Amino acid sequence: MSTERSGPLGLSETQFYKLKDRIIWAFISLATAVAVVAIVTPPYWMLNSSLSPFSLLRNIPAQWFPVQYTFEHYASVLFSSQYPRFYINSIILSLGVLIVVTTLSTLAGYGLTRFDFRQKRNFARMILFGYMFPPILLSIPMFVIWKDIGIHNTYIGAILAISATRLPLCIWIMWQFFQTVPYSLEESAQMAGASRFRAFYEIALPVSKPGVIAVATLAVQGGWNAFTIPKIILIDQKLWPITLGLQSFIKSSTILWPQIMAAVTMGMVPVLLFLYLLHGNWETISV
Amino acid sequence: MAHLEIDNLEKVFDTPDGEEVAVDGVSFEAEDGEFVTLVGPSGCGKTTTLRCIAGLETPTSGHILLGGREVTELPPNKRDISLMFQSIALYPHMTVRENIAYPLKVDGVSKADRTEPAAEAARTMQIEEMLDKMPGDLSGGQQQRAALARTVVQDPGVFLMDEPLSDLDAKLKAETRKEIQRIHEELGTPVVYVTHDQEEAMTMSDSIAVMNDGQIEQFGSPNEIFYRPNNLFVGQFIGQHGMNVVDAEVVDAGQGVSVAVDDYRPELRIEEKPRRLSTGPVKLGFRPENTVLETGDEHGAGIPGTVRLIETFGEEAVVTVDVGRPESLLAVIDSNRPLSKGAKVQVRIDRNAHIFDSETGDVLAHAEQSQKQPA
Amino acid sequence: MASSTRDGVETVASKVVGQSRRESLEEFLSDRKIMAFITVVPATLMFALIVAAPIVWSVVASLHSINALSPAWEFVGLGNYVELIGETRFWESFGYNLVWAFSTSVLNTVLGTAVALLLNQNFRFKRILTPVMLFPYLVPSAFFGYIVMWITTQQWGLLNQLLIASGLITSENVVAWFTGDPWTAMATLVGVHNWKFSIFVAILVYAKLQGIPDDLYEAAIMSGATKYQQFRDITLPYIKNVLFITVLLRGLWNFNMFDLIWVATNGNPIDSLITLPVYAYKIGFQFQELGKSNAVATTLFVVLSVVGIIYFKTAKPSQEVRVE
Repeated sequence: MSTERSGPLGLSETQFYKLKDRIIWAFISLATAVAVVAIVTPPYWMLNSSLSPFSLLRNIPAQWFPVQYTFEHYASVLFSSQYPRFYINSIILSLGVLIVVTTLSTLAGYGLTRFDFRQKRNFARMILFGYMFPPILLSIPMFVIWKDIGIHNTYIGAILAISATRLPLCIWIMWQFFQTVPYSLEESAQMAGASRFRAFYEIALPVSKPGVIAVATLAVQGGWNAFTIPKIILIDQKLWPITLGLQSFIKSSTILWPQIMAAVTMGMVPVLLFLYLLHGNWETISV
Repeated sequence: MAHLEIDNLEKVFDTPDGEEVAVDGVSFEAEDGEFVTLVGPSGCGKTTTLRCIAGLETPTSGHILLGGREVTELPPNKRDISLMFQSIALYPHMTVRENIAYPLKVDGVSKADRTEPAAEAARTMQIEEMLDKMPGDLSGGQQQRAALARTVVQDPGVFLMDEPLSDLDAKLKAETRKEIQRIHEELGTPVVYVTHDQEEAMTMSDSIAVMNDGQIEQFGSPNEIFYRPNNLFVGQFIGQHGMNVVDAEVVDAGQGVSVAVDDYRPELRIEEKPRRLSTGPVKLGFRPENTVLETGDEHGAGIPGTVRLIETFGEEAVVTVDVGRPESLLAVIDSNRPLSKGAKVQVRIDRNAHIFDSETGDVLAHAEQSQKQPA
Repeated sequence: MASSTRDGVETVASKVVGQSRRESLEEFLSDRKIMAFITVVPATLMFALIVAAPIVWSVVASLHSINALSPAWEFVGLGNYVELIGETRFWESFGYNLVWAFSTSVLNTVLGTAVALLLNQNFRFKRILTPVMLFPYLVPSAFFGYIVMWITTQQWGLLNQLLIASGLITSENVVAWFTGDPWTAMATLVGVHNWKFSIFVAILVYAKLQGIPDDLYEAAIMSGATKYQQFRDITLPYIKNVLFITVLLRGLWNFNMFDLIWVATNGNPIDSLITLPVYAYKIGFQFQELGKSNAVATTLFVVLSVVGIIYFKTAKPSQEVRVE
């Protein structure tokens, strides 16, 4: 019926290009598999170590798969260490950052979009410049300032400092987000008799819910991840979040590895929630 | 230049909700130098068919032969075809010249050797002076020409065009349409053109494939498709104003076929009486262009009705008439004719009508009083 | 709304008063100036706390000798800076720091782009793999630091175990990842750093890749472009800017990295891993010399500002903000 031309390698043309296509796909699949293995290995090892009986941890060769597992390390972390306290502290810090950052960035994002200012462009530059600041650079002078005004070594001091590092990114996101919300929606509410303020919280705010969720997630994540700022600002161990508190499992004579891995594993639970909330929304955090 | 043959093409997509048959056994041929249009409503599978020919989709089954060569599963660049996209798809970061010369660049043609063909293609499309601009600086029509130049420079065996005019305004559409026809005539390369606009299909093509639900309902010349629709779908889809369809009854299937719409018995001349026609209910289709409105109230002179709407387009006006049926009827009349909303009229079939099976919608007979070219 | 019946008059009237109080508050808040004020000023104040105050404070503090334990500030002028410049430690840190920042940001960008390109393919399990592959960026650096510390343990760490299992080394001569050769330590941290921070680049690049219209690729395919040509002629021009931004931002952040280094080395990094921020921390909080610590911080502010100026001059990020 048809004439199939012959291609290289003694195959027909169709067979040759099909083969070539397969090879390219095999290569892409292989690269993806390598990437996935590289990404999954550290958390896998964390989980494996946290579940392995202490005697098996020092096996050579290692116990690659959990043939025998135990929850004793979790129990020891939960019931005979300060870990629950650290966990609660992490939650307090995260919620504090959530409230400060979400409120301020939503208001600012709205104001920057809807009102005219002189120097708006410079303001934008300033925000992006603030975004570049690493926490360590802020926390050294902040320690001095906080000490002077008496809020170092307090939740409030840490929450404000952490919020400051998260705020620029979140203002930026809300600013970008409100630009996609047509002003005509609020105008129509105002024509219907609503005051401008009411149009903001009854119309603009609900419409920008996806942006607010992204910002809120990033705020909580910022609080949960914070290490440098609490380390410098919070001296009292009773106030430490998990990131700092893990240090208490390092004793002078020994490091309690399985306990640390169990503690880290439990600390990852909210991270999965962040992943779920930000999933499909990645472009919002790419400034 | 090549002869294109599509044989029983089928394309099934895997979707989260299960399988979706986009193309369901499509076959047609395009002779060398022929302009073939695939036309149909959105979702009918015309674009998928085109993308299979282009090689951007691999068909589930069936064959595509180009000049007798099996190309069904070859990558696009080994097929000797070019495709013009609905969205134009000019590379925004390249100048018009680089855009047009891009197919040559990937072909390994040296920079010096690709200037001339690119300029030549731009000359053909009359956008020579735009060569060093960026696509964003061009008007819509110029972008269209640049995109066309990029397909021309490839010197393909077949041109494929995927609704290239749908984003243009009416005037530009008409201009670019002529441009495409001119290029087609000059190069003599076969074109497979996809559109949802029946008017475009009717004016440009040598052959038309009317598609619906992944299948070709009818393949033929514009004349055939307009005057001898295979079924109700083709009849209603083609033609500027579609087709009026009324329930009717064949009262005499003998030598002199006689059809009744209530008390109205239009005079129909069936040239070749098909075997399948028998007495019983049918659908009678006739074009608004072939519909006459009588103002007399003589019983049985037409389908009685009331004028509901008159839309005037220059010399002609389209009148919507309520006839006490679910569907109202349209008639094209002289816009100078004094007729007003609410007037009582009799709708009479003037020349051509078609009798369709009332269940399957397949045509049973064409009744023609005289054959004229379509307007 | 006034009621016409006499009985209703009073209740309606009181309602009107209550409503009008709320309305007048809203009316007050709706004043253009007031509303502009309450939306933007709080954030601006917070902002002043981040940018202006620490800079000023840091500069002022750097001119003093401050002991973390006593409140007295003793003015020493440029003394702290002179002291720093005289220290080989400072210059060594600076040099190592540059190598560290450069190699990590380049590797982050290359690997991150590769991951983004993989994610942009239409493979079967994409819906599951995308979150898996982007997950590391959300993991707290400190958590990751502890995992790194555990994996790089000499005797029972996963890295050495894998090397032993694959026959590359024997259990007698295991690699001392962070405690032996300074360049080994840096190479190790550069390597593991990518686990989290390449993904940052991947997220940015992936978002950009998704913005490239499919039909550009299809047009290129129709023109006969190979995968490599499609990447060079379409993908690369589209992501050029974002690549530049990521190199710059990652370079800056990696230069200032503290948490991961501190945790992974158990607060005791080998010399090659003492980046300037780590150095500043040690001076300030282990040796209690806050003034000198702030002198290092001020130096870092200067570096940051230079990078910032390059960023704004070349990438022009603020132009993306539409000004009404």
